[in-house]
Amino acid sequence: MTETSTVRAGLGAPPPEDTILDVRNLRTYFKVMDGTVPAVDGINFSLGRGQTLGIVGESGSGKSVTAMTIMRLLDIPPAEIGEGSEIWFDGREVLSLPDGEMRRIRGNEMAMIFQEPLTSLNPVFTVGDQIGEQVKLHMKVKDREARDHAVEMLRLVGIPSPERRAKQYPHELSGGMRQRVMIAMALSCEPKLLIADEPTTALDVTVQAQILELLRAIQQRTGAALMLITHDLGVVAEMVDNVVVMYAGQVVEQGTVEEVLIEPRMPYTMGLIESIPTVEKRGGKLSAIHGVVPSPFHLPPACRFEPRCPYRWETCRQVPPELYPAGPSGRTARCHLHLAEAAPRREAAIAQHDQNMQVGRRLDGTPDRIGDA
Amino acid sequence: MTQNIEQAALVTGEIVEPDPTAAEDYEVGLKSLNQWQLAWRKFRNHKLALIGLGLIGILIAVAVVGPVLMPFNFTDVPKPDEIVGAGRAPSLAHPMGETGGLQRDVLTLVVNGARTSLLIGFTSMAIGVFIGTIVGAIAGFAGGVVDNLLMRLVDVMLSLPTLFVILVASRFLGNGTVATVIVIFGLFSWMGVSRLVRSLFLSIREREFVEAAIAVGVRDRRIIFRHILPNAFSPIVVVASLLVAGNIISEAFVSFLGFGVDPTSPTWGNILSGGLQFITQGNWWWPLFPGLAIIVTVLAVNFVGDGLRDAFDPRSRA
Amino acid sequence: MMKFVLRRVLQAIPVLFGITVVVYGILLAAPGGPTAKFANNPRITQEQRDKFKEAWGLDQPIPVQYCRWMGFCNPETNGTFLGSMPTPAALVGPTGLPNFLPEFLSGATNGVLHGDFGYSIDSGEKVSDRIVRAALPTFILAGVALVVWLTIAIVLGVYAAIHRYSLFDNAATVFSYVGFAMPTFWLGIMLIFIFAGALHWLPASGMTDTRASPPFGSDKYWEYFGNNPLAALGDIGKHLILPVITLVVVNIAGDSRFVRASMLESLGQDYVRTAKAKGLPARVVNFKHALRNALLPVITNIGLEIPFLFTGAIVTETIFSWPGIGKLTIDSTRNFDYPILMGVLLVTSVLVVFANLLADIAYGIVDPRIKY
Repeated sequence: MTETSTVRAGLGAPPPEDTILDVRNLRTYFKVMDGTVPAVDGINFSLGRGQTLGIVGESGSGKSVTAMTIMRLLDIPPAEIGEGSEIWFDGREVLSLPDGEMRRIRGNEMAMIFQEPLTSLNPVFTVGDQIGEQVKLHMKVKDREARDHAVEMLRLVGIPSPERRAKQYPHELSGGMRQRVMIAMALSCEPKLLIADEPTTALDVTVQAQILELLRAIQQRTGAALMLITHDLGVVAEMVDNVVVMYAGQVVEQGTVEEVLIEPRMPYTMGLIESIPTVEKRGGKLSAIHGVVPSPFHLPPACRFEPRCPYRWETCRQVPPELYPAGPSGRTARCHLHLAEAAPRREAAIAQHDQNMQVGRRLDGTPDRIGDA
Repeated sequence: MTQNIEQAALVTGEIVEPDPTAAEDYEVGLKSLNQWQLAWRKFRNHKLALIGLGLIGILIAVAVVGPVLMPFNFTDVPKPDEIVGAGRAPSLAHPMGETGGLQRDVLTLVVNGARTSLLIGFTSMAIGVFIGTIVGAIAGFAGGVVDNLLMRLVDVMLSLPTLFVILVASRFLGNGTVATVIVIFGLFSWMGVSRLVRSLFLSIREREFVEAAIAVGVRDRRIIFRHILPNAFSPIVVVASLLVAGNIISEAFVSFLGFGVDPTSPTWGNILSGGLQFITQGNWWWPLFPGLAIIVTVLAVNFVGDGLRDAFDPRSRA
Repeated sequence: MMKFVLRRVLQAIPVLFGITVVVYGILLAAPGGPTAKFANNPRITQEQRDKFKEAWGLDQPIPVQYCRWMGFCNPETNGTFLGSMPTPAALVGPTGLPNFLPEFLSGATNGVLHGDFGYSIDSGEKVSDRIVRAALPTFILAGVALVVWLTIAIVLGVYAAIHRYSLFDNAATVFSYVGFAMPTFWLGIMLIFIFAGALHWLPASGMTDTRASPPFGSDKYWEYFGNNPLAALGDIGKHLILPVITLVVVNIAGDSRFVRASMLESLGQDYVRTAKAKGLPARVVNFKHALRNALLPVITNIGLEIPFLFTGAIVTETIFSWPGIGKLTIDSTRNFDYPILMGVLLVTSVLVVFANLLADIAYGIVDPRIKY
């Protein structure tokens, strides 16, 4: 039984029970001095309970703004959420909740981990204090219990001597430990949804692996759903079930992680995969997607990727592509290559992509081709 | 990467070769401005700064041209048809009223005072910036003992409450002329600037050693100056505007007490000085207008200083 | 921590010495020295001037005067070395130990180092006594002003930052620009005119109503105070209103902007975003997380502003004839009363140095990131 205030008229129907997060037609604009920036321009995706979703994209693609919008952490001027956007969390539509209700959800049922653990922690309070205040607020317990719980959380995320650490200040901990503290803080009230915004970008590689391992373990233990935002395809490959690729504020490809990473069907994703330097590509030229991400004030009129796309043709400059089905399993891609009449182009593009993936030699000097056993 | 595309083209008959320059079509909207143009653009958008600039322009015009245009000389004692000891309130003939005592025209006094007060404010700031730059440059460039000594000196100067010292110096060394006042104020205005300039030169020194190690050459040194100096501009300008404002107010106080400029050259401060005794007799206009003049001037200078600071701040939006 | 304090105190010592040298230097740079007040009086003969100088030790060369004034040199020992420097013999006190040591060791009682600032040329009173007498009114004025100004500035600044761009914020901005541009003494004059001259609500000057009570600070006054504490306090309070307003307006104007800027910067930090993400209510986010960090630079700033309390006091005390240190400074400057002037300058500079030290220490205590 939901008591959602249907303050915004005309809401759609709630999603099925096993879907924890359903984002529909989300648009977030920013009004700035030079105009209006459509940071997120009509995206849709959903996340099932206990599942992991990866949101992939470059800086400026809108992925962080999406997360902040879901948590309703944006300041409303200058940000503005478009009419018709709906975010369903655990059966309730979140954008129409009054502030007080939203605050009860934030930190409690829905929590977020940020990228920079040093600046994200308040330097003048101890670590234990910062975890404890959240626990006290949402779980309505006394100081002593909150403190004990905080220590337990620190232990859970693998920090040694948690009682001592809880009394320390953020600057006294290492980067990896600070991120663990952030995770402990986010998990302290046992949320159903954990949003991680580039959680490992600021850390070095070995620590990165530990943190990811930790996230996975926590997820399995608590059954929380995880929305992982990153630009690092390696992290995506390891951690997620499903992938959403964003470009210039739009979703451009969607599917399971195997589908999207191994057999990408949208030229942008193809370009991303091709640009990963792998051992197989030794000796060949590193490829990159030429051109730059368009300025939000000068978005291409039709397909936003068109100026940089190696497979474009006239239609791409004239008609904005929809998210067309790109395979039997419900995967989609925002590219005209998936129109029925573009089948030969599609084949050609896929073949080209396969060829690009083979560039390079084997370690003994002989050229390598996919298909050789 | 063309083979299969060409095959596809044969099938469908149309293909567009990816044009390496195409991506730049969409970058046209952004012009690249150099630092000064960017700063000017930001300054232009800062309404208050423009108002301030305008006001300063008006004030300078008044200072330069005003006394010539005034119907009275500030020493004129008009032959009044009736003697009003405390002076007469503002009227058409005397828009700012008349003083008590000698019954001189307040507007004339204020306009003449503008000249002196502005002169003192800006010149003493110039002296302060000049001395401060030299001291800071020496300290930053030479480093070591010299730097230490100079900075201790700055500390000492800063520990002495400035107004105190200026008062004492003006009383003891002053002879009532404008020049002396300017010099005294200038001698106490340099400390802040010196610190700024010193840190600037310290950073140059470090880079220079690196350059020397790589043995690059004169050209890069000039580049460093071109990059670093504009960075210094902003804080120095802010300090300078505060100095002008502060010195005008301080001079007013010093002259008000009779330690500064003699009443033979009016400054807003010594005009106010005369006014205090007549306030109890109901003469409110005599002290009011010079004070307003000071407020307007200081406001204008502060606006411009703020605008300049925002203009050169790399983080503020254009 | 103690090491830090010790280090800073040691660093302060050369600065303090420098201050004494500069103070002495400025005063000696005046033409004619303390006999300048006699310069225009034809009835004082040169012989009388010379005797005056000798009595006050002013006929000695400058380094010797400085040395005696500071308390390094024994005033009983005459004679110079290299023409103007004090002889080594002069450095020795009555007991045979160096003169600058405390009295119980060296037997010396002269000089700044022993608390002896000389005697007022005008009144003959001991300078230290005179300064102490003037200190209490200044502390009352400055103390009240400090509390008022800090409270209002912080409240204004924080509120303006939280409600940025609101009407309140814009009004506060206008106020702070105008207030900052106002010469303090002019404001005082205008206030006197309006409230004392025209409206007769408040007294125009002084610290107490001289018709109702004995002069402040005298023994009779304290007797009076003991008998009618409320009336006496009310009297002082009434006299405090205008001077305090005059003193604080400029400081509030400047500081509220600073507080606002600091608060805005704090509100824009990542940890505030985290606090919101935890679901904390706005009140906690603003006042616990943001404000605590925003106050750190404000504390340092306060330390740096204490000198302005003194200079502001000069202005205000002069306008309102408030019998404090500021007025003492002006009066003694007018009258060329060197010993008093030097004493005051020295005392205030030393206080400034210590205020800075305190501010540093306070900052170190409050910010856990600083380790000493």
